[in-house]
Amino acid sequence: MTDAQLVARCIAGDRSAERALYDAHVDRVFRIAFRLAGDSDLAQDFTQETFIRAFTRLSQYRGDASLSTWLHTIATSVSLNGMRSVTRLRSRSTSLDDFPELPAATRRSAPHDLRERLHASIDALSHKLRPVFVMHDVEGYTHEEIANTLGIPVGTSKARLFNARAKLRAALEIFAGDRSA
Amino acid sequence: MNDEEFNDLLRDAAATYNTPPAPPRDQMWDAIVTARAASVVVPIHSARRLPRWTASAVAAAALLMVGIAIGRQSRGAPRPKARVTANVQTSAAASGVPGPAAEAPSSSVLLQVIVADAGGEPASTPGAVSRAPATTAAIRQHSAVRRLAIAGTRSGRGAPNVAGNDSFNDADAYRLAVVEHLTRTEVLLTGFRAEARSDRPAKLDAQFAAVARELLGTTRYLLATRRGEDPVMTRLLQDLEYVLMQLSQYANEGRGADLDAINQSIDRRNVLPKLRYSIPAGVSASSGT
Repeated sequence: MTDAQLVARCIAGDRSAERALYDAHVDRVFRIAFRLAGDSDLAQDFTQETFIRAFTRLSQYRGDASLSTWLHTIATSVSLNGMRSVTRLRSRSTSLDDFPELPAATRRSAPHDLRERLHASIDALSHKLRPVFVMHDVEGYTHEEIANTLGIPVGTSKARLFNARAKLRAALEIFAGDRSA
Repeated sequence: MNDEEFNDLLRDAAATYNTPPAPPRDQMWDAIVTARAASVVVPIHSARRLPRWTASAVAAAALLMVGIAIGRQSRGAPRPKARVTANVQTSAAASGVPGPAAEAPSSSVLLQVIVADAGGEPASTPGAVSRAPATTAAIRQHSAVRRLAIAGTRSGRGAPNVAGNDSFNDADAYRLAVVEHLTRTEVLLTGFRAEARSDRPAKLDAQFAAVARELLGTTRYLLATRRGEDPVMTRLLQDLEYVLMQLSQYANEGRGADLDAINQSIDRRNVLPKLRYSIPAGVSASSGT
């Protein structure tokens, strides 16, 4: 069944078609939601919101892009907006400069520390750089897919990925330098 | 840290950063179904089933209807009704032919101005004026009609109702003002002719001159107001303008030559027959006793 046929049946009110659409795309939607949220409950909320919006606006889907891309656009938008709200509420936003210094003994402990540092550095990326980095380097999206999903030019996606990697490398080199000293 | 180490870290991050667990499919699906059933979702195409221009047109039409309703309500509001009846009778009017007998001082010039209140009862009934020297008073008395007509014209609210006619607009007000003006002018000219042919040549008083000047001004005003709409009326008003201008000059200077010129103008232009033909068109003018 093609995307157009599935969408047509969903618009007609076919519940089995809706479930089929959900089953076909829920894993990847949940993955990107979880990657961006880092929290299972939030990822579930974002995934549910994504499909509720999708079913509501399904008549607006014109088939210009694949249904997967269309769904991921909604999922990314919902997740990023949701994370902004969560960040504001929890005041969890932490810049790289404000990242607390780890005790020296812990720094030298193992590559595990380097991984934690990397994860913390990814969390601290700005709201423009982090989605591109997560989608490309973590989830394996192409720049074209990122551009379509985020609504930005392909060149912008590449530039943001370059900047994100540069910031992470700078943060990790400082940590690695301290560790080797 | 070299590039290879950094790339290894990035590959490690792909496997370890926010690694998602298996999605609780059924749990999320139940939540989605429940949320969709609980929320009343208004489809966007339903909320916008009317084009925007249609909504604007409907709003404009509604506003227009409200305006019309307010206008009709204000025009139909109860107000004191005034019934104006001008009854002008001359023997000349009855015959339709001017002549010495018709314009003699003994010609009966009856002017009745009845301004009735809302109940339709006459508020006043002035007496008849039977001789030419009283013509000025009759004209002055009759100016009440003109003031009412002009007030109706200016306010646009149709203050006076003529002969019980309830519908009153600007055209009606204009016609009433014209007919009333013609009536006054006819009374003035009839009185003037009577004075001119009497034993004591006309020595018109200041009030007569003032009324003549006032009628001249009104004639010009009426000419300027709706010139060209009624060619017959326009020509009549132009004739009246000429005669009244002569009359105003004569009233100021009192030269005998001017008196003859005025009479010639009145006769040559058939002013009085035209006036009498036009008067019954609006104001209730009858040829009673």
